[in-house]
Amino acid sequence: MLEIATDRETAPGGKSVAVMSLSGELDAASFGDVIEHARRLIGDGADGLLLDMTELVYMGSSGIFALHSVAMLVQGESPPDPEQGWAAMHDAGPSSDVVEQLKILSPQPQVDRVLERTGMKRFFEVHTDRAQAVASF
Amino acid sequence: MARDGLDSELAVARRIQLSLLPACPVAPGWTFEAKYVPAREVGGDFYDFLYHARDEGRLEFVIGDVTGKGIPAALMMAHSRAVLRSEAHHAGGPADVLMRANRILTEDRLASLFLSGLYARVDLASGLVTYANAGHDRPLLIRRGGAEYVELDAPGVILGAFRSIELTDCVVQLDAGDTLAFYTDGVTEARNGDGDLFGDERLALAARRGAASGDARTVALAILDAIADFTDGAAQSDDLTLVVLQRGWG
Repeated sequence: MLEIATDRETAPGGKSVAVMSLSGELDAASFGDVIEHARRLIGDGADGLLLDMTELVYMGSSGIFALHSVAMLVQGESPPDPEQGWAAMHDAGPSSDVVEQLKILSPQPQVDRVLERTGMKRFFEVHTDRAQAVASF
Repeated sequence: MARDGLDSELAVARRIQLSLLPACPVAPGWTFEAKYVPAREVGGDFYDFLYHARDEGRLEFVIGDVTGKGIPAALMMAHSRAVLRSEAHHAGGPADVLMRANRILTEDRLASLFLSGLYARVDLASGLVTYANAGHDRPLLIRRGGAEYVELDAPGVILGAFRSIELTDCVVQLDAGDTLAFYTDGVTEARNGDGDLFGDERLALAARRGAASGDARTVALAILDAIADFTDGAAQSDDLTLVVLQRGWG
């Protein structure tokens, strides 16, 4: 089960940063909620998104899909629809560069291990201090 | 009636998927064992053994884990397996195989699923193993006797998500009696009734006990038995796959 709390901060440079605090487990049952929350926050004008994983105790492979989809959203692209099945997507997804608009805060050991193993840390900055994370946008 | 039809089709799909998983190779001086337990009738884990010119004494294999479960993952599994088999014949080292496969998978973008994968090339005469890791769980190297073990670290990125990824080949030397165990996260993330994870330490302990007393099959069965004891009947939530190889003593 996953609980999502959201709030807003303003980075020193004036950018609006939406903070999504994830609590519980990010898995096949909950990854869609993360994507939809992100979609709303970005639609409401957030310039960047900080995923606070301080209270996230588990992330499965569906969490990686959610990260990828949110990365596409913050870059102004449309993420793939997991319900479309075999429909071919013309959009090839985010570039291989670091995604500046999406950052991660304080992943717990199991989650950090998944981020490391799957290579996600190459594309997303991981911070341990919330104030510094917000300031980095 | 509709449910019966679906169940029947799933049973057929399961047989087809299982038929895609090859028998373990037989090579003098080596033992191999592979185990696959899907969480549903079909799943997204896979392994494959490929030979390239048997007289050169080279064996290649891959283990992979598609995000998701059930029918979508199974279809992606079949597609990924075919892509990897095709690229294995054209590519250079293991990293090149995975990077070439990634380009095809990101271009196809079928079902929007990703996969982790580890590709390895084994020199059966020398025991040198060259491998590349695309976001997969770190394999366990257990030295003969089972007392010493290490997780083989190799930086990587999952396949099918990002257009351009960089992977590198790593090498490890297997001496007589050494064991390599590859697995999917369904092993370490198997849960008991209290929600606890089986974890890396229990995996290493089971693998080491198996390696101390027997060959690749013994190691694989030791791991599966340990998981069964730990989960104690709790529902299986993810596919579970093991590939174990051991260099013999002669």
